[in-house]
Amino acid sequence: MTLHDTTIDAAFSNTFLLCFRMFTTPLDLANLLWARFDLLKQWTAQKLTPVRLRIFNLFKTWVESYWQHHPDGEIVDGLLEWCAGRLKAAMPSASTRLADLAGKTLVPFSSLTTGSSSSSSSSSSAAIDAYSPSSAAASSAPPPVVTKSLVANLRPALSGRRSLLSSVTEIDALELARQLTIMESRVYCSIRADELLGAGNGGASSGSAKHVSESMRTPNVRKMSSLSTRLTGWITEVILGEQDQKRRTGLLKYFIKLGERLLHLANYNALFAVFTALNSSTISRLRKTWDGLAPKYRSTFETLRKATDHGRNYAEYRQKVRQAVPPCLPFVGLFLTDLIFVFEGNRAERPSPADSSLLLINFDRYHKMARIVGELQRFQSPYSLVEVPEMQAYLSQELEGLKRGQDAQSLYRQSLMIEPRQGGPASSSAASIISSQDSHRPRDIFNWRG
Amino acid sequence: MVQTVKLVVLGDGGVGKTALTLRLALNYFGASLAPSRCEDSYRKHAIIDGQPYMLEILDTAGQEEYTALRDQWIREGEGFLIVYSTTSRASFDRVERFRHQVARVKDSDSVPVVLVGNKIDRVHEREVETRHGEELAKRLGCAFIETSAKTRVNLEEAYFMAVRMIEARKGGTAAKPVRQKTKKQRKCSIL
Repeated sequence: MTLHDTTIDAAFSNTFLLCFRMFTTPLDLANLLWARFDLLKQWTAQKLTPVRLRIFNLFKTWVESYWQHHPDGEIVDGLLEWCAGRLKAAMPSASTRLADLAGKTLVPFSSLTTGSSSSSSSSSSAAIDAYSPSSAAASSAPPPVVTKSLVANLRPALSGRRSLLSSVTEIDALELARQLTIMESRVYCSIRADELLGAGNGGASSGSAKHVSESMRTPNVRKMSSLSTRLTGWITEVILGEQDQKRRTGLLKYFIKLGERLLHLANYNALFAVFTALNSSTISRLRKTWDGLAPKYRSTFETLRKATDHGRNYAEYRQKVRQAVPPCLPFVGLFLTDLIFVFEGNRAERPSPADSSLLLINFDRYHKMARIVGELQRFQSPYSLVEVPEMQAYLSQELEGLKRGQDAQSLYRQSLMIEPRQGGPASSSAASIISSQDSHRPRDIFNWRG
Repeated sequence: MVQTVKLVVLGDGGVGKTALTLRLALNYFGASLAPSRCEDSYRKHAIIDGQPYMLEILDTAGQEEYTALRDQWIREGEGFLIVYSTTSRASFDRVERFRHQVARVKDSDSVPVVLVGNKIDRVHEREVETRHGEELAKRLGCAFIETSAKTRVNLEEAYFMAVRMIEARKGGTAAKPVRQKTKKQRKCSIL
């Protein structure tokens, strides 16, 4: 990256600046670069200037676009010193620029060590505003499918009160799909490269302490998975909350329709969550509810199954995403699995082709990781949609206010309550293991503790 | 006839699920691996007790936070490996939750489950003793084995154990129901 007579390989630089923390430390790297800057005194002027420029540029790009305050913070003092000292002596104007940049992006961090990165991409902040009804993009977006009375019924949610909606089915499935997409897209667009790499290789090292710090370093990745889990939980709760079997079938239809609309919007991330809810042991066992479903909906459900199928390592789903043109929201969980796969499946080092006793860094591994990150970033652009603030408030309220959404066992119990087992003797044994876990509960309707 | 067996690897993040799977499926590690080109990296031909099998392994690494997805994976699996790291007490403590979920989703206590204590190559970092693993396995009605994905100790054996349990269950000699074990557990906790 700092040779005098080659062109810069952008892909290499990108991979390097994303991944170098996995095979060296920021301080070691900075020290080597500073040494190289000085080493050149013995060289001819012809080489000296380009190499020094490249070292300067590398630091500039690093600070500008790849800075991760943890662990890069360790070079801040050295960098400022170098700027004011040797860099200034050699290239005064470059020194001023780097010092300005460092002052702007690094200094705010020194007082506030949150561990978050400064390099928020411009696209993410654009995405946050892109959905407001007053934004420029809104004029080209399709108008939301809402009636005045629906908006009025949802309005209380804006001020934290219960909405006047009697059933979610009053919301058009397409519009619900769009609003969910807006909600997820905002988080998706704010996922940072370092979060992904942290989640990917953090798995390789052990320790519970590491686990805790990891959740702080990957806030948006966590937000994404929590949104998915809550969406699944919410759908499950809504279906189970309906006592009337016919209306329960109606809810099933509605959520299948929602899945179909999400598929059309290429929001695979939410589609995975919707399908997971419908396909869960809790919902799929409600045979009477499913029996009422028209064949048309069954075949749509099969389409959803195919779109999210993990057979042959998600071969079909992968092909769709590969060909997809943004806007699209791929399933975030698979990026995480792939990153671990590449990290675990490729060695950290490889023998040098010239001298097999010499071990080189297996840069291929990091290229592959950077490519996965790049694939996620490819879709970090907003949809052309307009938010309905009342609906956003309603959705947040519903997703955050889950009663049992996180507790699969209690949901399962409710499922048994609305459609009891057919009474097979084989099934009673599993219940024993469930009830043994929360035997402190007074409720024991099915006499599981027998 | 080659029989296909679906195995699901569960466990906390960072316990080495992917390493266990990849090192089983690929015997050597020189090749450059990319997930999109690895449709077969989770499949393994094996001869177990003279019978040919195709093991299809579902690796769930990286998606530990997607708790709702687990239900679906469990439904599709026939046998399970619940992995913890012998160097992490926290990962061991979470084993029980996975075991309960398997029992609930499968609606049965006799599902073939192997409890796998991984990373035994890290001798000095050990936090979970072998006997604690054995005790937990007994209590939860699982088979038990300790492995090292890194040095390949018991690597194949862990998977083969699960396949043998599946076979035994088909043959009607299902593992002892956990109901008894549960009672035992209560006794222990009182003591």
